[in-house]
Formats: sequence, C-alpha cells, structure tokens
Amino acid sequence: MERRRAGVFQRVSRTKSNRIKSKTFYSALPNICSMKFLEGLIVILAMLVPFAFIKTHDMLTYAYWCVVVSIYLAYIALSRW
Amino acid sequence: MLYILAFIAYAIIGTVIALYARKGIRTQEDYYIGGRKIGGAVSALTYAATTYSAFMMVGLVGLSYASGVGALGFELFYLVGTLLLLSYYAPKVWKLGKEKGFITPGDMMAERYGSVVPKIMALIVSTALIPYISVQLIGVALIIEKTSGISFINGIFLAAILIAFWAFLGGLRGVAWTDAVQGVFMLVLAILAVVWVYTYAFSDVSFTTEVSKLGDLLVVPNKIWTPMRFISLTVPWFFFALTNPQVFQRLYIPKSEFALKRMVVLFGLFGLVYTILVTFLGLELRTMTEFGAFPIIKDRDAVTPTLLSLMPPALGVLLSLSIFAAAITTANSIVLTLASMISRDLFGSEKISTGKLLIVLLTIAITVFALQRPGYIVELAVLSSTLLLCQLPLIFGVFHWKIGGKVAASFTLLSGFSIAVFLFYSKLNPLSVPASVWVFAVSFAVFFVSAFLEDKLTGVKLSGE
Repeated sequence: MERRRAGVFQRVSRTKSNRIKSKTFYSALPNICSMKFLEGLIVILAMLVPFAFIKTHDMLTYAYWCVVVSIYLAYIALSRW
Repeated sequence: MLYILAFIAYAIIGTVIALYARKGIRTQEDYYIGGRKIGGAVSALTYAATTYSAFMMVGLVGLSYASGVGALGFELFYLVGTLLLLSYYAPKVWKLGKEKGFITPGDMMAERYGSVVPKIMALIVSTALIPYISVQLIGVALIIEKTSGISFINGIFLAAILIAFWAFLGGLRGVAWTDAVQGVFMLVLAILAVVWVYTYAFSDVSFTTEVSKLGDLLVVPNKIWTPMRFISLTVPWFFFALTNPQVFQRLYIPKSEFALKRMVVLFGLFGLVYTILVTFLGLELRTMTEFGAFPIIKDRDAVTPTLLSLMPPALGVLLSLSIFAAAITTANSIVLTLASMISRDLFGSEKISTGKLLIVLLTIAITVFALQRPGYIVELAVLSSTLLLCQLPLIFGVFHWKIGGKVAASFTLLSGFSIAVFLFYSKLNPLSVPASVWVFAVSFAVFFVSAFLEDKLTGVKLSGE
C-alpha cells in the first residue's frame, strides 16, 4: 500500500519541503473568491426568484426555471471555457 | 410474457456489450476508469445514466405529482450545482488525475491528506451508498412485480445478477457502454411517455387551462415546499458532483480535455431535458387527476406504477424496462466505484481480481439490504447524499486551503458522518435547521478547528512558507 502511494504519489507530511511541493500543487488552482464564485451566486439567486416574485397559478415558475438553466447551460457550452 | 421477452433481449444486448468491452483490460486503470480513453459523448451518457436513477421516473414523477412545480426546482438546483461545480473543478480534477495517475477519488485525498483518509472515505461511502443502491432495486422490483408478474424477490435477484455481471465482465468500459445505450433508451422512453399521456388526456381539453386548477402546487413556497424543506433536500444534492464517488471518478475517464468539456455540456443537456420530461409527466398526471382522468394517488411512489397500468402494454413494458435500466446503470456504476475504493484505498490491492471479488460481495450485500425493504425512497436517497457531505471540506481543501492534514481530515469525516446518522435516526431537528445543513456546517467547522489545532500542535504556520 505504502509502496504504491510512494511510487505514484507523494505522501503529505508536515515538513517544509513537502509544503513547497504542496504550494506547487496549489499554484494551478484559482481562488474561490473569483468571477466564477460570483457567477455561481448569480445563478443561485436567479433560481431563487420564483420563491419571492412569481405567484401566478400557471406554468410560469416551471418555464422560468427551465429558461434560467437553459441559459446557464448555453453559457457554459459557448463561453465558459 | 411481453415483459419477459423484452427483458431477455435487454439482458442479451447488455451482456454482448459487456463481453466486447472486456477486451484489452490489463491494469486497474483499464478496469476502473477505462484506461482514460472514453470519448465525450459516451462519458456524458454514462455520467447521466449513473446520476439519473430509477428515482427520476418513480420518485420524481411521484414528487411532482404530489408536490407540484417545487420538484422541478429541487432537481434543477441539483443540475445547476452540478454544472457550476463541474465547469470549475472537472478540468482540474481531470488534469491532476492524468498527471498523478489517480484512479479512485481516494487517490486524490491520499495525495493531500495521507493514506488513512481514503480508508475512512471508503468505509463511509460504502455505508452511504449500499442503502442507496438497495432502494433502487426495491423501486424497480416493485414495478416489475406490478407490470410483469415477476415476484419482488425474483426482481431483486434479476437486477442484482445484471449489476454484478456487467460490471464484473467489462469494468468501467462495459459499464460506460451499456450506460450509453441505456441512457438513450431512458430518454426516448421518457419522451414517449410524455407524448402518450398528452395525447391520451389532453386531446379534448387544454393542458394550459386545466393545469391552473393545481393552484398552489404551481408556486413556491407552498405548504409542501417550505423553504426549510427545499433547503434540506437541495443542499446535499447541490454538491452531488463532488461528494458522490461514482460521478467524481467519472471525471478521470475522458480521453482528452475536450472530451471532458463535451461530457459536461452533453450531460447538462441530457439532465435538463430528462428533468423537464419527468417533472412534466408528474404535472400532467396530477392535472388529469383534477378532472378525473387519473386516480387520486396518496402514495407518491405508486404514481408511475399506476401510469404503467393505464398505458398500452407494449409502451408500459418498455417504460418499465427503462426504469429498470435506470436503476441498473446507477447501481453497477456505484458497485464498480465502491469495489475500486475498497480494493485500492482500503486493502491496497493492485489486482483486478480483488475488485471483481468485491463486485460480487457488494452485490450480495445490496441484495440482502434490498430484501429487507427499508423506508421511503426519496428520504433514503437523500440520506445517502447527506452522509457523503462530510467529504466536502476535504475536497475544497485540496483545491483552496493550505491548512488541514490527516488529523483534521479524519476528524471531519468521522464527525460529519456521525452527526448525519444521529440526526436521521433520532429525528431531531435542532433550531429547526435541516439535518443536511447541520452536517454541512459541522463538517466545515470541525475541519477548520481541527486543522487549526493540528497546525498548532505540529508547529506549522497556517499560511505562507
């Protein structure tokens, strides 16, 4: 088990040298407080709109949610990457 | 008789695919993640078929029928959460997996937290997901019993045999290819079901006029979808893409980054269309109840079986088989992932044969659990996701935080899991906050506090070099 871990991966110990390796590991990873976090917040708020603002007894809430998710999916497909 | 013939054809097609898929399997990488050579479309279909289980056509149709449009919101919140998380984390997980040779989700945790944490994870996910799969089997066995006359026990055994056999034979490639075919089948039958119900009930009356009779079922919140209920169901599902190992492991399988991105987008499209179809079907049936074209159903899990009994036999058989397929695709993916985690992370085995043995043993465990027929389908499914929420701080920790080692990670998993089990079985609801939110909050709190203490005790500063 340990041989496998040691061979393919680096075990994490709390030494300075490993923390430097760990820093390299993180360097490719962006901060959570970014535009993408904001994007998530906007989508969630958009999904919550029917709870406060749509009160009609028809399929408007249903259609609204479908449209929001469709737009978000289109955004991911066309602009996200 | 019609069902048995259709079932035999289904079993033969799946077995032929699984047999073909077994060629060229030499390593655990080949067996558990298809050698990282799966195309974008097949990856998307296996991701979708793994995610969308029998819960959709049984549980969600019933939930839409009983609770209205809130069921769509609940399921689309899951989809939005998944798209959000996948669009952000999937490329990073795929790159790291390829670069470092990760095969299980536990491999990534081992890289960050050491080799004890994946062992705990393997135990937790097994405990969480065995009931989840068992519930799938119960659902389909009940439907088979109602539509074909095959007894509940025989239905459980038939499902268990196919789950084990296809995963055993072809590994991930077998599962993915059979998932792809079944995913298309599920989608086509959902379309046919919606169209049939529409033409059956709404050729003389207007759906848009009649649906307004549902009143408060068309808005949120209502007496069923209270904000607390919505939050309690939505929180664990929102993070499903990261916390459920059977879908997390699928982030390793695409053959290229382009294929991965294609997987995410096509999965999103599948999920959106399938969710719309399934919830619309539930609303159609509820609307029909309002003008007497469909019986009043008190038990929401009985809505789909009642629909099947009204359909033309051929369509009913095919829809029933699509529900069976949905359960099989979810279950064999989970069994294969659990086998990989127990085999590699818990026992440290490098052999494919260990995984194959575990597939058989896990399927037996699931069968035994299913034969006991535990509680209500949605609550049990959601409990699984609540149990898995305790992994979330560890996963975020890999990507965002420097603090937290093996002690913090272990404490987080054990405390989050314990809280989830305690709250579920004690039926306690402290401060009227849902159990899933408690698990979420406690897991993050324990992670940060224990990470702080761990860093203090080991003399490493919280930030910087």
